[in-house]
Amino acid sequence: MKGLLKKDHILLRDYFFLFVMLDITISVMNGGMLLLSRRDTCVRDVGRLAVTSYILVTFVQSLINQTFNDDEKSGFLANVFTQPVTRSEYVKEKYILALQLTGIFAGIHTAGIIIGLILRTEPLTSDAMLLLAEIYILSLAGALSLSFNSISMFMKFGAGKKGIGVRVIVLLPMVITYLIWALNVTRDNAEFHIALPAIVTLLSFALSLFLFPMSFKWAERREV
Amino acid sequence: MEALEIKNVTKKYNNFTLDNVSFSVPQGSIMGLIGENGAGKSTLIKAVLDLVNKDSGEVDIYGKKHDRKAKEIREDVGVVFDSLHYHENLNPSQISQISALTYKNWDEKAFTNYLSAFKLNEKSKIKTMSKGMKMKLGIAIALSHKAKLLILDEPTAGLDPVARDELLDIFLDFMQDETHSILISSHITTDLEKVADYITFIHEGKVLLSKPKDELLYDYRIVRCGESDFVELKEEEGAVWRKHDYQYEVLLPTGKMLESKYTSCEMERPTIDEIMLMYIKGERS
Repeated sequence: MKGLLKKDHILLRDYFFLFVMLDITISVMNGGMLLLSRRDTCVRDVGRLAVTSYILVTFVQSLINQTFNDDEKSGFLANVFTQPVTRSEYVKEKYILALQLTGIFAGIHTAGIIIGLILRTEPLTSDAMLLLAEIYILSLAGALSLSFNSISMFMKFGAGKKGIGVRVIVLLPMVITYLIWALNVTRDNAEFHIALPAIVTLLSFALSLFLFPMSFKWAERREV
Repeated sequence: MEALEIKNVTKKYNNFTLDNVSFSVPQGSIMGLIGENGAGKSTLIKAVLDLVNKDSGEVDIYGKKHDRKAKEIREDVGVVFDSLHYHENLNPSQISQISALTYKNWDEKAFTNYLSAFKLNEKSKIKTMSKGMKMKLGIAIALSHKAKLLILDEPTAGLDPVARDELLDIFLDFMQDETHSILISSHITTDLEKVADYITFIHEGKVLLSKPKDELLYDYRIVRCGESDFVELKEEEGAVWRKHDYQYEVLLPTGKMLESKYTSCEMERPTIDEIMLMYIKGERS
């Protein structure tokens, strides 16, 4: 399994550094936004972080998808199952990679927010703090659930057109929800506006937990 | 001891069935797996490697059952497909780093030596390599984790005669250790004539024959004759024939013993290609 992680680390290196640079840029912008926002507009400013948090979600998922596409198109999937690596270990490695990537991107994201909060001369309102926490938890849960769902879908449907289609279907509700949220489409209904992303993300997270054991079974049955 | 034992392996697809295939590869020998395109060679190799779900049958490697959980056995097996199944952006040096974390017995020094012997640059990306170089890299990987059994699926396909000859030399070199064995599939039968000890011929998913190569080359005879001789020859055990415009061509598995019986007929030793062709295109009683 260590060999598989090493392989993915090497192959993702270029994309990873690009995404890290983007994440650092976003993190600096977030920190700056928190640092400069006025007390009367801070809730609205924090709300804008939703858009950047959504980017974190897509970073992880796109990198995980990249490894699957590479594995299948290069024929590595057939190769790896002739090596002393069990199919369970292959699946586990992808989950570990998803956790690693989420941890790194979320860490960079958090650093910007914390620095912004520390440097602020006046504290955020409790509403803004709550919203910030909600955004943060949802984007983490969103990043994990989408990459976990991608892993399950790949094990079942592969990286071909069918697999891509299914992954898009799983991703779509999250994308639409985040867009609705970020564009304030539902702002007239305050409760619904806050509850919608939470419900969709938690449903996606629940789905990923449900699919987690299935992904191992599907990997065992998969023909390559 | 058998290095590889395939017992009643069956795999059914909608339009093809690998049907109850059984044969074994004795330790210290090279088994050539032949058959036309679509005969089931690659499917059989996938079934042996457990890459597809077998409908029935078992595969033993060095006496141990090989299935998806048997990762220890795979330490002893080196696999080379018809193309190098690694990401094109990797280079040999990176593959070595990855393999060192995958195989317990990975020998980095041996790998470097193979790279030098095969004139491969350890920093060149796979995508810059020719087909022959990729195959050599695949073999270097398979040999550097101290595999005892090599399973090779069409390793010489698409290579020029020089590169093919070099690969065959590598296989013969590998066989210097008597505990080593090779299962090699190929439709280039001349390659197998050079290196194989045994030949298994697979046709439409079934094993038609599995015999020592020398038996095929020295005991089999091919006879070209007219109608009168043909009537008698076709009754011989295992005879297979083809009718041409002016003559019959008859393959006799027991031909060597029949030479004295049919003195008027000209009997020749067949090539593996001719044997394969007769079994595929010929008629049997």
